[in-house]
Amino acid sequence: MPKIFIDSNIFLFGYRINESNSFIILENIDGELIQPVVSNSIIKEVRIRAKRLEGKDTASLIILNILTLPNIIVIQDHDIIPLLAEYDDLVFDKSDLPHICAYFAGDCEYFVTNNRKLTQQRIKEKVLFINPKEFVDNILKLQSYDTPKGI
Amino acid sequence: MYNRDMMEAVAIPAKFTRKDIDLMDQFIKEGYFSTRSDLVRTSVRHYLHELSLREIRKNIKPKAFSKKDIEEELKEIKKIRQDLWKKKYAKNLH
Repeated sequence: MPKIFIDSNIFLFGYRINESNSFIILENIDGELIQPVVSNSIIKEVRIRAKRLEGKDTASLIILNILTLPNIIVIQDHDIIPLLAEYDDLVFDKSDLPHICAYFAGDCEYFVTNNRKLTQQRIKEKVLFINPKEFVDNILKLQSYDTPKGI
Repeated sequence: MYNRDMMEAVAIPAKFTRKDIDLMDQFIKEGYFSTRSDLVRTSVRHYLHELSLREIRKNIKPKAFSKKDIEEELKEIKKIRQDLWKKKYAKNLH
């Protein structure tokens, strides 16, 4: 069962745009063929942004929906922090580093993201980045949407 | 890897009809669930997932996003990420 690390932008676009590849991914995580992995920081990012955009109640519903994804793994800081130094040199934008470490802590196969800058850093040699459209086309093998940036 | 408090199992009283129990045991026997607790936990999580998605759909009006909107949104997410990095993680990188 491939584990996929899901970036916050997938949730923030997926819940707001029905006709998006991000939404297809969220709808098709079954916890058996595909196991979702996030970190507590990803959840925090989603909560902060969703609260600003949609208000506190909807943000809480979004977090509940994420935490009830089938067989979800939530990587905690105590798994991330010891890895920061190990991958520091490969990540130019340090704010992305905890998420890279969470990917490794979760032993993930794919890192699904719309963050193109992240995928262009040296860490790309060790992390299998994939955008939502590629994931829908190549991994889920479903009909994808032609959306800007593949969201 | 939920934290320990979130993973701790708590027993709560719940009553089921004989019919429900028979149905549950049938699915357990067929290997879909390991125990009755596993079945109930999975069912509750599944229902909460469906229910929360339904409510999210009611609350969020679908919007068309242009390429520019997407770039703006990604910038906003990045600002939050950078803020969290400074507050939570930067001090752990020596």
